Amino acid sequence: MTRLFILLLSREVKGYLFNTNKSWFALGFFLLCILIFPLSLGGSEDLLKKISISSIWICALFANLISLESLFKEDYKNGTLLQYHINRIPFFIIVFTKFICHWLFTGFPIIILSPLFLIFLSGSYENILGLFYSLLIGTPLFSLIGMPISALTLGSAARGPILVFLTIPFFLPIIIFGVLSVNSFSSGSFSEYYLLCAILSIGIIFLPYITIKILKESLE
Amino acid sequence: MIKYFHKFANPVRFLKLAIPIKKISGIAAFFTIFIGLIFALLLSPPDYQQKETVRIMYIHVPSAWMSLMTYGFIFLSSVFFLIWRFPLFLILAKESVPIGIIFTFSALISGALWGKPTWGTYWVWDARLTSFLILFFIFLGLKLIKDTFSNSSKGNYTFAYLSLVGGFNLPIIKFSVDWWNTLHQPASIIRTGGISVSNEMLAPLFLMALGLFFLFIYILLVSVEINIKEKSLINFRDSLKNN
Amino acid sequence: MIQNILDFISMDGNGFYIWISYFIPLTLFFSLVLVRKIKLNKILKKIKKNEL
Repeated sequence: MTRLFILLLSREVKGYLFNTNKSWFALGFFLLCILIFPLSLGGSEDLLKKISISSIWICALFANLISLESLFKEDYKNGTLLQYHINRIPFFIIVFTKFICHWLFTGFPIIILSPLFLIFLSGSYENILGLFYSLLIGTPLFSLIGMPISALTLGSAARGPILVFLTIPFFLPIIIFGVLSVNSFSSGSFSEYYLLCAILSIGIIFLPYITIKILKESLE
Repeated sequence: MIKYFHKFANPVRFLKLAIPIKKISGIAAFFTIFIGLIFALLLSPPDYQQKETVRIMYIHVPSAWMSLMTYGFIFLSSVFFLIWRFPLFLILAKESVPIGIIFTFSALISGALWGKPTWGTYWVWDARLTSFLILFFIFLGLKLIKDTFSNSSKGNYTFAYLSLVGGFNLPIIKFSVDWWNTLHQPASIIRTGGISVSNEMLAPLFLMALGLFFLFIYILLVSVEINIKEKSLINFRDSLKNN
Repeated sequence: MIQNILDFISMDGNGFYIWISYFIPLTLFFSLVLVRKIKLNKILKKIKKNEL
């Protein structure tokens, strides 16, 4: 089982690494989004300082959203998923490898680069650690929530608009708690972190399970 | 319970039961809304704080109630569809989406129009208003799914699962927005408790709610009838072609 | 008499909000009912034609 997991994981990672479009798309989108914020504020330093955390969160959300489309698409189109299904490879391995890879190539670089961008957007240094932690809990949640919706919309003609329309309402609680947690970090209260952790620990059990159900339904 | 459902899961048998109910609820909806409007606009007294603007409540609150009820209905029928796989439940769930959109939209619009004279603005990022806006977007998403997948079995499951997930997500959204709101707007413009509702105000409120409920049933049953008859028509044509 | 009606319409100066907030939802409900009714009648007609 462990071998199978490693095998699939390395296949996924290779898929991302050799396909430069796929691996750099989310991060590039994030960078461009970040660029928009200072430019659209008309050079107002104060305003930028106030919204630096929110803008990083918003950009992380959109980067995640935009990369959701390619999550299952290729494997569904060229029949790899069907092959997995026929060969009785347990679906939870597939779903978890997909999830880990998606997070590794969209969430992880953003988390690593977030302190840099906070300074870039003239945010205060106190918030660096808070933002780092909150993104660390929040971005896997984005990937987790996006997975079932991405699986749901497989095979639809108008996939992009549906995906955007359906996913954003489900991302809202995460972004609300994420931004609030950074704000309350400096005052020493961690209640939002605990809430995000609670959502993550529930979500990591149930959302892959729902995804598996949906994928099976779509393959039959 | 299952036996009972089986009996009415057959579309033809369901229609036999549904058509009289449709007619009765249509007439009932017309009269209750009519009487309710007379009560709401003429007979009910103006509030001592909000004066005449309180009359907006009689359309705003019932449509808000009804949009929540519609979502609950969609949620329940999707659950039943996923458990027992009767297509009738799916038709019921799908056909109530446009009604839900209209109820939510009218609640939002009348709420905004109520807000202007009482609070001075059309829109506040209050917890209740925000979560209602999100409910509206979830309804729109369901409509999008319903239209793009048309009638494939894949689309059916997508719809059912999505309404299920949305149903679980709505309380979470409400909770998160509440949380966000209490931290950022300690001096909320909307007073909790609002207006003291007297008996004379309850009468038009419940009449309008009842009227909208009958209206919901009427539109739903008409839509279901359209759906079933359309399907039988298509089947009939296919059989003609095959012969 | 006319003054009474005008008073009723103006509703203490908030008539605009009240009437619009009643008008929009009611038109929406009515138009949805109308659309569904027309569609149903069309289908019923087609079914009749096919069976004759």
